[in-house]
Amino acid sequence: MSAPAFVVESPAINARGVRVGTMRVYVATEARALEIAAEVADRTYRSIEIADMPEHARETLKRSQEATQ
Amino acid sequence: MAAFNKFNQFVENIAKGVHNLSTGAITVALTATANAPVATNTVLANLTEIAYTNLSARLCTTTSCVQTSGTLRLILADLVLTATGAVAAFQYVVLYDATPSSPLKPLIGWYDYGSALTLANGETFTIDFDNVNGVLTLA
Repeated sequence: MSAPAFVVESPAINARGVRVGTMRVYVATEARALEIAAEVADRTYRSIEIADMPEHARETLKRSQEATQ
Repeated sequence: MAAFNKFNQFVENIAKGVHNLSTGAITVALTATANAPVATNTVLANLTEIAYTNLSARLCTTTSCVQTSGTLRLILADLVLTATGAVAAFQYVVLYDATPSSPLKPLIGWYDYGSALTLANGETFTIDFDNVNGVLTLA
């Protein structure tokens, strides 16, 4: 099992109140996720296995972690 | 909540044949908190974009643009923006059509993320466009 990352989610709503999408920010640590989520009331965050992240997000996170090791 | 708003000129551009939303290069522009879009903006040149250093490509892929029972829905594939280094802070995510030349790069609409976001190296910002309601509907 791979180590977890975190995703912050924000619903995107149009002027008529219809949901038109979700914005997600994938980050490496819970502290960073909490920092982003705390800025707006209806943002939420959760842990996510790196293997379950979108491919581009997974690869980018892996590269940055390898670069800091 | 990230609120989606349309630019006023967009509806006129639709009526006058400026856009082909099925084939146009719908692209995302990012602006900072201090450079908020307003509904009266018409083209990309009206906006002050952030520098895109360390950020991946911003071109969207159109999945479908068809009507059902008289309501057209524009469906876009999820856009994944990855940071390979620090990216300038942004709050507004603007959709525009990069294909038309007159007017050049007309605006469609924008999302307000609600606060400034600065992506760090390794972080990813994705826009998961709704596959049922679409980015926008025309009825």
